[in-house]
Amino acid sequence: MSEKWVNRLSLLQLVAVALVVLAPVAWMVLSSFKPSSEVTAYPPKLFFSATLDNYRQLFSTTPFARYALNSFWVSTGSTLIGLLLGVPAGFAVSWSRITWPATVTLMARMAPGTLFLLPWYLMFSQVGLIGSLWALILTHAVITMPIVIWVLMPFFDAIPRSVFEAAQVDGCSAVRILMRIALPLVVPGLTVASILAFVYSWNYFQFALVLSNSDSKTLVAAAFNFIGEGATFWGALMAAATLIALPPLVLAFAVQRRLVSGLAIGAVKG
Amino acid sequence: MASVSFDRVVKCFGDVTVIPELSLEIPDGEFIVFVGPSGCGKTTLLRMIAGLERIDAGTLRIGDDIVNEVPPARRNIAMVFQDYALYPHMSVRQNLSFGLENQKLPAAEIARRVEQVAAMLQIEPYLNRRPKALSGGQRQRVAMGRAMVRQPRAFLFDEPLSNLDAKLRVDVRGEIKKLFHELRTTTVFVTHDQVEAMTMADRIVVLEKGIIQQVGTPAEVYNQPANLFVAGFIGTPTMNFMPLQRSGTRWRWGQRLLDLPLHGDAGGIGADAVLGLRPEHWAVAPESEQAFAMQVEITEPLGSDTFVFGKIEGQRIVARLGAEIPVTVGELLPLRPDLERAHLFDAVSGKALPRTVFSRP
Repeated sequence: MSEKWVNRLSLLQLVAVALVVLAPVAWMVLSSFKPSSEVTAYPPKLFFSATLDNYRQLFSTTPFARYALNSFWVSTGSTLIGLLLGVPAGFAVSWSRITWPATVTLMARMAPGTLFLLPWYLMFSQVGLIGSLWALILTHAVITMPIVIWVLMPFFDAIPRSVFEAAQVDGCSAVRILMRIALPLVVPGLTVASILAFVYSWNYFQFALVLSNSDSKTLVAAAFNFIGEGATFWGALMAAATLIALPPLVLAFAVQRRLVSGLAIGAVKG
Repeated sequence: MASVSFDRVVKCFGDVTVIPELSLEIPDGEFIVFVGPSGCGKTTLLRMIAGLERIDAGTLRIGDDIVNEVPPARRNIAMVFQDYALYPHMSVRQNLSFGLENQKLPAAEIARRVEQVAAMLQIEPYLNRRPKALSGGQRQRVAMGRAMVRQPRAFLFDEPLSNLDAKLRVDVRGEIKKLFHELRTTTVFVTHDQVEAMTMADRIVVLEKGIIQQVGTPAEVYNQPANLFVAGFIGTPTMNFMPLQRSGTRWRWGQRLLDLPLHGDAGGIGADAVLGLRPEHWAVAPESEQAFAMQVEITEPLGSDTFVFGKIEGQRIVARLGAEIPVTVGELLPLRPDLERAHLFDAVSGKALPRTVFSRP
């Protein structure tokens, strides 16, 4: 096949993938600006008179800013805990080449969240943490820590072992090797890990649904309130969804290049 | 400064024993070279001294201390790695001072020592550069500087010249020799290159399969190899080995009886032996003499000498002749072995036979 045709087919493939990925996003964003009568219209209207009514309804009926702040604290807190635990763990796994602990964290990450919820609900009730942000921060560490470990492991693996050994011979303790040698060399990995952890925590829905109350709800859980038993406020829900999706998108775009090269390192390690 | 001593040291990786049981004394201030083919355990031994490999049995001492359980950080030894292992995110200056900061030396002392070593190795112009911005030779110097600045009890070198090009290797070899013979700090240098071993060492340790084959000065291992392995490993081109059969009190090589009489107590010597003769111990025979005719196959003129490869008695032989001697491929070259300089090895054990049993009285 000629190069011209390969290029054309590649373009076609890209358009197809972009359609699948972007269509729901476009629908969401457009719907958030539609009058409530047109949000659920089928076939969807591409041309309409844009309105901010949905956003007005969102801000007037919900404490959106507080939920946003909750989300921010939960994601930031759980990302920090994830880094605090995951960075030394990832380093230790890479250093010792004993990988089962990393696999265990991955299994915890892949297990359905509902598995954890009942024991956690009981545990956090016992200590009176249901409805506090701490319950969410701590539980979201289950999501963030494996991400940090698994993103950083190939970065640590990529550092020549002799560099660590040179530091050992140079009189360096393990903790100091981590802080002075390993960490400065995996800064791109730290960025990727932090952003992924933050975004996954930000988007996570299940734990907040059960372990929070109306004061400590995160954005994602709060948005669920628009789906009522009687009526669902699709317009406001789309407005909320659009705003919720914004921070991860902005973050991803801001560090796009680093993110891609960081994710690729696992593939071409060494 | 300190001695290093291995006492019946054993090392295994899983089921594989890489060092069966090894004892060796390295006196304070000696420049000792471990040499052997890859997989002979030389780097493992070095890493055991550094504390980077555990010791499965036996005792390792540095100075008077048993260090089997002492972590690398507390052994006060310095190591130069094959890939230099410089800290990529630190400047040359930081690379040099890092080990001293770990020792919590005062800043003024650190600066003084770094300047001193930088001057000694002529790396002052690059002190603020990162390793990435240095050439291979410069990185090598920084790696050496990082070791020297620590003023350790011993220096360990793990094939530090193998990543340099040939010319630089010769220069650095000379420099290391000069520097470390001045410092007179115990130095263990690992290499698979027997030329490096010969040129640098006070003593050479020839290793194979984790077993010491011979320990001695470069002259000793070259002139009195303890066995076939050492004889074959040291020297380029490698020593010629010819199978001999005993015939009464003389030795026969193929159809030829050699002028190599057995005398003295030859009782323990078997019927078969191997004659070892270095390439330089062949000479062109005068026409009058009954000589060995070599069918010349290849010549390698080096300028100073010529290596001549060919067959005698159906066996491949290399001779090192003067460059002025004209040799053409295909000719029959009359050669004479200098049997006074020959080595005789037991064909079964490979051990060198004492010179007294075969050299002429």
